[in-house]
Amino acid sequence: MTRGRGLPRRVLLAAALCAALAVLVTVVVLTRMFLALSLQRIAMMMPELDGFERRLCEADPAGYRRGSAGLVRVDVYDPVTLRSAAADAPAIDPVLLARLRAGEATPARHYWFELWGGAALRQMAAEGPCGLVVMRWQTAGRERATVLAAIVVFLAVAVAAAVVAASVVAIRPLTQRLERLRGAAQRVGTEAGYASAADAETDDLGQLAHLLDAAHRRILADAEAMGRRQRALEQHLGAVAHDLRTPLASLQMGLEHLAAGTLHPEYAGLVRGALGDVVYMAALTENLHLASRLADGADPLRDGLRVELGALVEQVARRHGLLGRLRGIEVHAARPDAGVEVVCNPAMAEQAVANLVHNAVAHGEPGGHVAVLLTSAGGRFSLSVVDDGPGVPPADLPRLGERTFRSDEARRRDPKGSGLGLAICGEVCERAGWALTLAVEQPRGLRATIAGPLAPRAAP
Amino acid sequence: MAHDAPPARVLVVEDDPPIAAGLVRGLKAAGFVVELACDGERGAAAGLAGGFDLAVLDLMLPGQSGFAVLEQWRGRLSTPTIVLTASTDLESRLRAFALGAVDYLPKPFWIEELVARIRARLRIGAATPTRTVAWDDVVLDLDARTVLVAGAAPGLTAHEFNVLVYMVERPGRAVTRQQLAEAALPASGDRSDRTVDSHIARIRRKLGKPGGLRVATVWGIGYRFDAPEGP
Repeated sequence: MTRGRGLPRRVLLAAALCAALAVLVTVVVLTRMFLALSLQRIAMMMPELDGFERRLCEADPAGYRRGSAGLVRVDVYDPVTLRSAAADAPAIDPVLLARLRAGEATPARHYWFELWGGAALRQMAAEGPCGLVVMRWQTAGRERATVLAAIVVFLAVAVAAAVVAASVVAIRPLTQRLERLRGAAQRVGTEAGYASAADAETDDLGQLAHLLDAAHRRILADAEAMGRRQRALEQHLGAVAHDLRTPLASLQMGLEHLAAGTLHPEYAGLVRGALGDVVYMAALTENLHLASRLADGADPLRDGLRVELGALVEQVARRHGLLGRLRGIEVHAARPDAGVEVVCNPAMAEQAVANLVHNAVAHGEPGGHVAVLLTSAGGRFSLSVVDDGPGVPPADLPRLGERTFRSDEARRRDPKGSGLGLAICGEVCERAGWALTLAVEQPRGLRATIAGPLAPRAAP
Repeated sequence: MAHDAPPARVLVVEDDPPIAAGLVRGLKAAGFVVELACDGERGAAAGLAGGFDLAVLDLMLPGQSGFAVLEQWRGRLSTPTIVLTASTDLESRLRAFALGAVDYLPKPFWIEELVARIRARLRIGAATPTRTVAWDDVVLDLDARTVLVAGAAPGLTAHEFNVLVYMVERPGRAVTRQQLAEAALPASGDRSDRTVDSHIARIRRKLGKPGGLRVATVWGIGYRFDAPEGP
């Protein structure tokens, strides 16, 4: 950025203008006032000088005094020696003397910061102790205070006027431009509502506005590119999931048929393992697809869709009961007689619950159990998936919802999986306004609980 | 529960040969009479020809899609239809239900689950107003509030009878001890889990074997009445 351009120059200009205006106003106004006061005072004092009695003075130069109540003092001096016969007479003001010699008849001055308020000089004779007469007068304290107050008021008014002028010239346009910049910065990168702060100025603020515009365009372009990539990824994952489901269905049915028949124990184990893998792959494709949609901002509450959790729980438990039977794990579900309706996208709710049950079955051990328990009370529901599997160490509980986290124990037992299922369940719950909690069961096992509000009663 | 009716006839409309073969094999093994149509046109015609208790329809079919088949059947076919599809998006589900499907099963699926859904659907259609339930050597009359084991009254108390009825009315469904206590025991009495367990133990003992063995314990939940299954 070039130094001294635009904004600093305006500020310096405003400051200089402010100072110059204040000084100018003060000088002009106070000079006029001082002059008026001085002339008024001098005019008032002149009669005192006119009444000078030369004969009395020459009779006793040292004792000659004139004045009223000590407010005026008249001293006489020898024009040649410039000395006074009186010992306490102050020296003649050289300025007055110079003005007298320059030809002025009765030069006079006003003093603002001395004991005397002013003085006038007149030559009465070419020589002698009373040739020069100096009259000095005092100024009242109130008069000085009035003058000082006037100075302060004038200075304040001048500064205020200068500030207002400076504001009009520099600060107001500056704040207006800053306000436009703030508005633009707040909405930078948003498609609607962005208003460029750029104007004809090429100063720092002008350049900043152009940089903001460029950043806005770049963010929009990046967002558009990311959106395209995200949509392409979602379509791709959707297509992959769709294309995988048919062969997986075929594979699952074939393996299910084999598992139902009489097989050598070794082959029976392989078939059961293969069936488990098919179910895992199906769940993985569903989770990847849903993860992509969630990353794209999918909202489970969109359109206010409702789902009956009782039927959903039975369906999920039944499906995973078949997988559990292959692994020697019992899966059961219980639900209230009355429907438990909640607001959520049904497919997302099913995937969230299915992930919890699948985890419980996948990590269970032969002879184990999984119970899915749905209850509702006080306008809220609670859906718990409890198992008596090996569980997880309490220290790992807080990290279980992270996408890439799996406990060491889970990795040891089953190298498949990335923790995606639980993370997706947590994401759906969070967006649906539900709470997902995980707790260690005693003496062993894990309890995952989803809790949230029931759907409001539908209008009759 | 005794079933003397002829086996149910199921129409399967599926184009994928391995899946079609698995469906036919699995449904036949479950006791159904199965007819297969390998594309939409044949499936639609077979359905309209009638004679089926239930149809299993794949949505993605060559030529005429499953949605088009449903549209043809709508209003002209009362046969309940369970839809199978590789598409799991909500819009497909809602469209299928709007076109008259009664159930929806995404691929891949367990053939046992499909069989269970078909049976549940057929039970709904064939529901009779009878209030007598029989299994093994037990006959339970819900209206007369009597129970006979091998023709003799086992002497169930009123609370034990209530507990048994609550489970029998929900066959195959696990119920919690709390549900049993709230539904079958008086609010003023003892409704603890131990009381429910005591009632169950006495019911099992009084029904004896094999009838009493149908009352199963469900880990983590409570109990379940296992009704004998039939096609």
